[in-house]
Amino acid sequence: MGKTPEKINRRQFVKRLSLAAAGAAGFPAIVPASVFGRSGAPPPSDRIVMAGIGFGMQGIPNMRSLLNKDEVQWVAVCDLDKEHLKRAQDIVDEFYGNTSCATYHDYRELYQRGDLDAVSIAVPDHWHAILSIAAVQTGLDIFAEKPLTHSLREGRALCNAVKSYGRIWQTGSWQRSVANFHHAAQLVRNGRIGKILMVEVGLPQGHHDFAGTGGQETMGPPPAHLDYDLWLGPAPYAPYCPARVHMNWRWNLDFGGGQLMDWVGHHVDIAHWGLGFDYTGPVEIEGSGEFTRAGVWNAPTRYYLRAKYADGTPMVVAGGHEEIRSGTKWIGEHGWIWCNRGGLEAYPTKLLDEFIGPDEKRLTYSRDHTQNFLDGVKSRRPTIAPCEIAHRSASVGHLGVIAIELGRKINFDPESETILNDPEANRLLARSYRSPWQLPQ
Amino acid sequence: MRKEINKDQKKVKTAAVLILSLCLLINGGYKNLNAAVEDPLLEMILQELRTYEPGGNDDILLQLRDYVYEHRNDPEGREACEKALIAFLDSEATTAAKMEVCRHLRTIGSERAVSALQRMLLKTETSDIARYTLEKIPGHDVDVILLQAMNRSQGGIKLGLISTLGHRRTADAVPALLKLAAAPDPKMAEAALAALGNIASSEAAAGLTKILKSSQGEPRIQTGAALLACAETLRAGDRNNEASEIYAQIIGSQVPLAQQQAALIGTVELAGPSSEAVVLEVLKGGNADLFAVAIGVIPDTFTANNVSKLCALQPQLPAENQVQLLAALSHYKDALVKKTAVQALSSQDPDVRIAALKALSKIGDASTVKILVQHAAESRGTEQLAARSSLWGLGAKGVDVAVLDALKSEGSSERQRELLRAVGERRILPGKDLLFTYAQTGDSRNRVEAMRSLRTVAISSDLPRLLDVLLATTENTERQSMTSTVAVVAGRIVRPDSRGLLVVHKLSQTEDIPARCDLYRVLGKIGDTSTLPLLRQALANTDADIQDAAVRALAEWPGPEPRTEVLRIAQTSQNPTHQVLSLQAYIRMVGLEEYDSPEEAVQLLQMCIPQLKRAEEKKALLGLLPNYPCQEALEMAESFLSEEAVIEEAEVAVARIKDRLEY
Repeated sequence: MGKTPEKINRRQFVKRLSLAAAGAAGFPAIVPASVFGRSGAPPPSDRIVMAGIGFGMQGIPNMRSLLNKDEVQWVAVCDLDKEHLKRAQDIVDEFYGNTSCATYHDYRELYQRGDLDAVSIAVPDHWHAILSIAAVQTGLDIFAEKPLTHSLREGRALCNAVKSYGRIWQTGSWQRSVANFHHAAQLVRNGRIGKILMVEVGLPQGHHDFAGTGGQETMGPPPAHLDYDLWLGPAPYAPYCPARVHMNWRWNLDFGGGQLMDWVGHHVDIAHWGLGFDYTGPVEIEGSGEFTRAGVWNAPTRYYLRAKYADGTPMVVAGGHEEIRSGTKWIGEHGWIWCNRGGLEAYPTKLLDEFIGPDEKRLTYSRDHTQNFLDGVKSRRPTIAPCEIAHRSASVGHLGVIAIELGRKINFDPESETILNDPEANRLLARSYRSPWQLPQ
Repeated sequence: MRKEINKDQKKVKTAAVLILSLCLLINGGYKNLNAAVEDPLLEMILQELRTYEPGGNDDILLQLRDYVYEHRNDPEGREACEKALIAFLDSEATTAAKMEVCRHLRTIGSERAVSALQRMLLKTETSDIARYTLEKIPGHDVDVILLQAMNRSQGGIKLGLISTLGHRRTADAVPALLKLAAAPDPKMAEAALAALGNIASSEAAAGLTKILKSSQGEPRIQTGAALLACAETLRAGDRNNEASEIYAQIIGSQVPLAQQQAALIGTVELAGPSSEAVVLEVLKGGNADLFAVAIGVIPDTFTANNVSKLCALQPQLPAENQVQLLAALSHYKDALVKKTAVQALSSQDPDVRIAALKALSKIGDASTVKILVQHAAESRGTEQLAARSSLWGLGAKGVDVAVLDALKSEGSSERQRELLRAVGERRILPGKDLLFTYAQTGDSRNRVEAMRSLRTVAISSDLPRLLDVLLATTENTERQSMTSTVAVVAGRIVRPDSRGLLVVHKLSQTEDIPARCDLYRVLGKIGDTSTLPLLRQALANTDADIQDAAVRALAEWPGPEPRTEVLRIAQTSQNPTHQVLSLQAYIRMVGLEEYDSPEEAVQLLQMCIPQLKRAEEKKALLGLLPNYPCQEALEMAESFLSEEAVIEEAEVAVARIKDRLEY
């Protein structure tokens, strides 16, 4: 069952209400109670006006999840692929039972609408920072996919912008809103396994052919429905081939970061949560990677990172190494706790029955990731996966990629976010942009 | 240590290159690409790379990368490698090849590379890739070269150079950029403004401030954003006064609201003791958008000493703003804040009440218990969930005692139920006796709630008592609930083969058929394999109720151990309910085991195909099949494609199996 979108949006309504209240004391008395939501659904004034950018993969489920919330009014979709754009528009129009959903080819035009409260962004990694900072500077709150950005410097710039402009940010690190991850992290944080001796984070390996375009590497003109030059955006120029673009861009290091960067925002994020390292990063990291081939898919297929934090806590992040089980495992002096999607185990097993007492540390509670974002938009309080936390999770991946590329251990200062005594490594903290793109600071 | 393609492959490649070099020399067809290349292997790689185009021989890129990585930690090798790469940039190589070389110079390039890169800067096809590298090479000389190139270039090349100057924070570029910022070309002006924001020198800030006053429309917006970026950088350098001046300029200008909000945040952060007055002024001002910003800075501005001013403001605000302020207030454990939240529970607006409930979960204490219980009992939907969550998560000392005291004295059945639930959710161990009492007396719904809470509160030594309660219970729903409770508590016994012992012992003392049936069902839920023989015996019992209980116990068995029995029941039972339960259990149990090959699992599933009559079981099987990607699984899934009732599930299964097979 759909909802009927209204022409008036929340901002306009609130402004009019303020003006009217200021000018006429009797205003509230002539407004029917139903306008204020007494009949059930939130009134237009309470709805959060949203749009989405990027519908090639995760953008669709993210949008559906938000559309299903009564307080959201979805007004527009934006994609530089006409086929994706049409699909997204159809979903919104079918949901509302009308043809009101506006379409945009270019995010800059979308941002100029002036009636948006928030935007959902699910685009290739190399676009994350520019799109997001532009949204922040437009005054929008943001629900966006992980990893936070394509480089560490972009991540810092984005966090600074979100803080400076006072925006609400939710990263798609939805595991934080799932019971078993929450329980596991909370047990670890409250010392149930004692001092942490090792953290093992197991991520996927290889290249998964999401779009079925694997091997389609013959260069040629892009299809008419795709604005390929805009798709490339700030990334280095590369000629079009199907294997490079939709969904599979993540296997090329100019556009994504392979399985490591795809998953670091999930399982390392949970590891940090349990450790209380949400606002810091490793002090040293080294690693190795295997590259089975060059060409369009050039991200490492197997990788093994060894990191250490300021208090000495070691962490291994690996993909394709059987001894590191998929998910997050904290190993402490009194036992271990492991969690993954649908899984929660511990040794001794009775650890899982432990309750968190009234005086113990309780981690932020959420069982609905999109609702948590909307609650944040309304209350202006931070979400469960804010920008800075996502940046710190991603930083482990960024530093890991640099360590793999350099083939040596790097020492990192999480405070200044610089690599110590290694100018060559510091060069890799930022990416250069193709003309005319520029990262807003 | 970096691992690449395996070493054998690498040796073969190296040998091939050397043989090729030799052949070329013998034939006289080999000519040095460049005298700068000292190592024949590198020369060979670069020779082949020269004609590289994307989609061509990508293997050469790996060879180049391996070579650079092997030599970069050795100063002499690194220098030789860098020189060869620099020389390559002046060759007739393709742009794509030069791009790959620039990727490596990005990390190993030094001032030696600057001249060659400079020659590429003003050519359309190579400007970007030269910038990518120059951007990384430190030194004033590079700044000068970039600035000269920017002054001499046009169009896209110039835009790129502006970006790089901004990225490098080249202060010498500010005068030129300020001129460009006022240029008629909007793209050039926009790029220059952004670069000035990144450079963020005093000169840049002063120039941008002037532009802000005189510009209109988009340029003004871009200037505002650049100025805010300047302010952030100035603050990072402890030049707060200059930053404050910028914020004041922004707030006083006709710039977008988002920029005014950002300037307000900056102002508050720098205001020190007077920040409180600034925030209160905004909160009272009636501007909804600035209000939201002020809410965000409350934790940095107000302490327990001055939070009373916010409490006084709370009831005067519109509902939407009350929600926001309550969320902000919930960070202050203060009696007045708690009183404010309790008062907000009387609001006509449900969102305000929910916000108050959420706040109370953080700032409430033992005295809040009764209020939350009342709300949980009397509200429904989201509000009830919020009330319950607050009660269960209430963190202050004395709350558990307050819950138990309330339970002892509470007269209302609904409130008793909320309290019973809270005992379980909070795992209040001293409440165990009360739960046992409620599990056996009074309102049936409360008995069920008490039984549920015993699952978290009771321990294995309570099992005899729990079994007594079970056997004394006559109502069906209550028995089911108590059966689960006994199983959950028995599951906490560390040794898996001891979990059913007490139940077996009870069985030996119990003659009553319904009671024995309950105990068999409990054994099924516990899943202690040492009790399986007992259940197998029960299957052969002449009493239909005992048989039924045994079948159900086996069907509920949590592990895969009774898989053979449940398949046999599905194949031979005349009881349609038993057939369905056993078939469902069989499919589930197949999915619980680990196999050496996917074909083994599919073979087991094949055995139940003749019994599959209903769509539900077919769907369960189709849901399982993609876990075993093999040709047999694919064929099995495809065999359901013609069945209308499950065609969608079959299509999904086929697609997933194919996907995993290809992957």
